[in-house]
Amino acid sequence: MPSKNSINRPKLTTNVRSKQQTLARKRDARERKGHFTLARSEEGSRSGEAKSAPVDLYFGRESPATRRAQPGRGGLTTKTLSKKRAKKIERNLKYAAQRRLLTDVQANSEGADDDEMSVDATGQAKAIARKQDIAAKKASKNSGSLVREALWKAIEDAGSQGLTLQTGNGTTLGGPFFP
Amino acid sequence: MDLAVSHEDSQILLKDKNVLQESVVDKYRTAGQITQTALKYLTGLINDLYHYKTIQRPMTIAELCLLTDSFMVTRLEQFYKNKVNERGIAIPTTIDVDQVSSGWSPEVDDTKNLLNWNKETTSPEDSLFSSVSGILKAGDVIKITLGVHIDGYTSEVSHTMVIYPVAVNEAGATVPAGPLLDVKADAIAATHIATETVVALLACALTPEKLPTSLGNVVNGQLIRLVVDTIARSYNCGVVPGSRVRRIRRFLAGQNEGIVAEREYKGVVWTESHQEAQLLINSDVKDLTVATSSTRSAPSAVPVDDFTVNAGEVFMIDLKIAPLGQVSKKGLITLEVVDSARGKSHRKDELVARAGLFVRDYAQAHALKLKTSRKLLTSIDNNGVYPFKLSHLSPNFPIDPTKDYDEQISALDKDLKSFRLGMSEIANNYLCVETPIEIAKWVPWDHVLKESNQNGALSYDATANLTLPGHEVPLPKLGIAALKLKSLVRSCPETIDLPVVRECTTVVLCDSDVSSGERPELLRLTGGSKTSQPSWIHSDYELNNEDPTVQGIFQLAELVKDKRFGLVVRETQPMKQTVSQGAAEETGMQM
Repeated sequence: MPSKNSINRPKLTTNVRSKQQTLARKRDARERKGHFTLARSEEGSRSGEAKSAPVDLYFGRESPATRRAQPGRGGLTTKTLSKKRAKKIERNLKYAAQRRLLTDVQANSEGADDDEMSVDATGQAKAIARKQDIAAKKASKNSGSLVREALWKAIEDAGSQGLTLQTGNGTTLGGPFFP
Repeated sequence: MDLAVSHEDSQILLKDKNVLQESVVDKYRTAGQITQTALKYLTGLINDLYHYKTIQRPMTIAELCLLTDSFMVTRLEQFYKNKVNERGIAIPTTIDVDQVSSGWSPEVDDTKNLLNWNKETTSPEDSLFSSVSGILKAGDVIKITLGVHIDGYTSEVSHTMVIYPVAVNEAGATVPAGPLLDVKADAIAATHIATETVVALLACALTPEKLPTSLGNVVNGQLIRLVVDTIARSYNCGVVPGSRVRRIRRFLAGQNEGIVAEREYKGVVWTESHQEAQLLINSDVKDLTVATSSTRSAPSAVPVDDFTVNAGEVFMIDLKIAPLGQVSKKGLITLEVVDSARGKSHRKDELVARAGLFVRDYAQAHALKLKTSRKLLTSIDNNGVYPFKLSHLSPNFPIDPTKDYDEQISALDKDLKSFRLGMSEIANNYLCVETPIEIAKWVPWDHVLKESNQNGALSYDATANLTLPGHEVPLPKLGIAALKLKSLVRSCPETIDLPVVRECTTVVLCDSDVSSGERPELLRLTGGSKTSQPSWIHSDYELNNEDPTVQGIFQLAELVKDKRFGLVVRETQPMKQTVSQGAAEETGMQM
């Protein structure tokens, strides 16, 4: 290894590499902090679900970091999927399908009584269910806008003033003296 | 902070001491007499000043308040001396002009300040100018509010007067030049009729069989609200938030609303949320209407309409009504608190004034630094739970009519200087709460609805005026918090001030064991035909006789007139003014 001040010191290579490393470190830190992840309220947010880079790669989903930078283009990534990992994912998917089939059969055999306590959903399933809930709520009108709509109707309805009667003699109180 | 009071003690204080006995009714009656006399005294002073013009020296609102407070204190001196621990002013005299809804009770040293603070903002044509200058003008509608308590048994009164241009009739007497025909006349008519009707309704609670069938068979909160709302609507008026028909108990006369959460609150209150609910009630969105019929197991501090009026209770009817004749759209009536600070955010047309009334908050404790403040706090603590003015704490109070008037005023002025210094430390540490000066405002609903409201009801207003528990959010269905509403009122160019008319009366529902005759009767402590006669007005509106509720209202009026089979309503009379040693009514003449 040439010394720091040596003439032959390959300046460019080291500098470029260290720069790339620094950038990568910073990017990783940002990603860990969640700067690239979508807001929880956003459509594609995967908050609460299990996070796995290989699974994302296997299904060809974009990682949030690249999507942010170049939407739809799949930018540069260092994340790779090994052949072994791919095989494992394939195998696990097979098992998962078998498991699902089994629970379905069990549910059918137990009949359709709803009193049965539901099996505790896994964290992931819970998160998905919650997200669906939120989506459904968003689709329906929220109560605030319903109130606004009803109030608009009420203030535009000029006929509901009611009761005031200005045809008669009116009302006189008191008299020409200082009480 | 919870004050440690044993169960037995709270039973005695809240229950036993509030059972109507001969002695209790007597204290109420005496308090009522003094209140009536003070009201008569003040209306006499105003008539002499502005109508008969027998007093030449102009007197400001601050002076009128001070003189009436002195009058009340001097009168109180003659009754229950050494017999009760506490007696005094339950609410210092306030004189609110036109759109000022409550709390206008300046000190004598404020007169110059007010003119100075509002130099650029109010012109003599402005309707607020009467409040600022303290000198009333013809066409002003003024609300006089005052009250007295003896041993905590409170009687309060509010009465609305009109300042007329005067004329001389054929007999040579000074009379009003004509009836008031303004939109204010609508509100005066509505308030007068509503107050009288609610008094009759409460009298029906003693004999429920006499209640007109169109009004149901029991006097409850919903019925009171229905009747008042119907009358207000008939006269094209709206009920101003802060109005209430509530039960009062010993030391619990509504003076601490918003400071102390009162357990077992019984009464009808009107707030912005009720106007919102009123609009939504006709809509097809059924689940949005306010849930009123809740089955409450435990007594709560949240006021709901779900109560029945019983014999042996004392009620205060405090109605503020504003006319809606000058507006063409539907709008929200709300209150704006007058600020004493002038800054960059201050609008040009905004009133600047400081509150004159303070209430001690006994839940707060703080070691004060200034000697002046500590001394002042001691005298405040001796004063009790009722609102007070700084001048009441001065050794030069009450004003003695036999001595030189100007000398006493300047001595009082000097005392106020050190009191103001002490009060600022006391108020900054929340030991005392100012009773806010409120102005009635009208905002069109479309402005409220157009505005986006991202924070929802969560935004917190540190300067919020006192609210009852359960009513902190003014528009709960829309989710508009007090802070948002405040900015809405300020930002809308269509916002206008509404004149307010106020009538308040205190009534005791005496069962047959404490009534003067053998029949149960309603004892009207304050107001009534002797002191609170309506001014001469003519409104174009009248009650529509085809409405079943209105028919019930007319039947009630008949019942009150019917001496033999109808309702027994007895009024407390004002005392003779000349017999007392504190004949303060001559003060005006001497000056």
